[in-house]
Amino acid sequence: MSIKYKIVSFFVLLIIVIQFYPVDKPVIINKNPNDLIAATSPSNKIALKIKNACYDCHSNESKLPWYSNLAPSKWLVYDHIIEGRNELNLSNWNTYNKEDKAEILDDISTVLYDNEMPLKNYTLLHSEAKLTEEDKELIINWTDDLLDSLYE
Amino acid sequence: MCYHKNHIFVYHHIKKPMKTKFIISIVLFTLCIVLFSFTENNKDVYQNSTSIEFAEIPENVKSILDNKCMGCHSNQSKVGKSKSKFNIDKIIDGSYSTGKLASKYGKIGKSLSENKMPPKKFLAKYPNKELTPEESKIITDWATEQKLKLNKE
Repeated sequence: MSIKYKIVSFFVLLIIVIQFYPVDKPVIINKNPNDLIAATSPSNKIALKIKNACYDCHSNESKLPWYSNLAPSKWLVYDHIIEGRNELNLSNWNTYNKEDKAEILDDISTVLYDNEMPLKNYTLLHSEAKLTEEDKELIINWTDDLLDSLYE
Repeated sequence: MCYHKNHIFVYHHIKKPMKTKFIISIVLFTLCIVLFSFTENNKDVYQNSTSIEFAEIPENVKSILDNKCMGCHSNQSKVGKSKSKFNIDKIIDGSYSTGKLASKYGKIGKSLSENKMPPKKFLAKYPNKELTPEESKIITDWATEQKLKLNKE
C-alpha cells in the first residue's frame, strides 16, 4: 500500500466515522402563531429581507442547506442556529413582554447599523441574506417605528 | 462703538466707522447663527416632550457617568460601536425616543448587574475606571427607576 493511499483512506474513514458523532439537531417548526412578521405585518419587502437575512438562525423556520446534513459542517450550522435562537427567537415574538421587545428592537437596529449582523461567514454562503445600505435603513426605520408604537 | 456723529463726514475718520460696521455686522451675523441654533434645539426638545422630563439626570449619577462611562458613550467618543449602542449625550439632549430610552435604561441595569460594563479589557488598561459597588448601585437604581417610569406610562 502506498503512503498516498493510506492517507486518503484514513481521511475517508475519518469523515465516515464523524458522521455518527451525535449532536442536537435544531427542531424546525414552520407554523409559529407568535411570529414577529405575522404579529407586526411589515411591508412585503421588509418581511422578505428579514426572512432571508435573519430567520435561518433567529426563528424556528430555519432553512437547512445541503451541507448541514454532513459533519463537520453540520456541527457549525446546528451550533449557529441553536445559539442564534437562544439569543433571540423571532418566532416567539409575542411571548416577549414590552420591555424585552423594546430592547430587542433597539438591538436589531444597532447590530444592523454597526454591521454586526447578518454574520459575514453566513452571507458568504447565503447571498440572498446580504443587506444593502438601503435595506438596512429600511429595516432600521421600521424597527424604530415599531419601538415607538409600543410606547405611544 | 461710540464715535462722534460728525466724524462720519470727515474723510480721514471714515475708515474707523467702516471697520466698526464690519465688526458689528459680524457680531450680528454670529448672534443670528447662535439664536438660530437655539431655536432649532428648542424645536427638537418640544417634539420630544416626553423625553425631556427624563433627561434630567441627578448630579450624583451624572458625575459617575461623566467620569466612568462617557469616555466611550458620548458624542465625543472615538469608539464608534460604543457610541452607536449607547450615547449618554442623547439622553441629556432628549434625542432618544421614549421607546429607545426605555431600552437603554433596561440595558444599563443589565450590563452593570452582569458586570459587563465597563469591559474587562478596558479596565485592564484603565483600572481607575472601575465602578465601585456603591457607584454601580447608584447607576443601576437610577436606570431601573427611569425604566419603570417609562414602562408605566
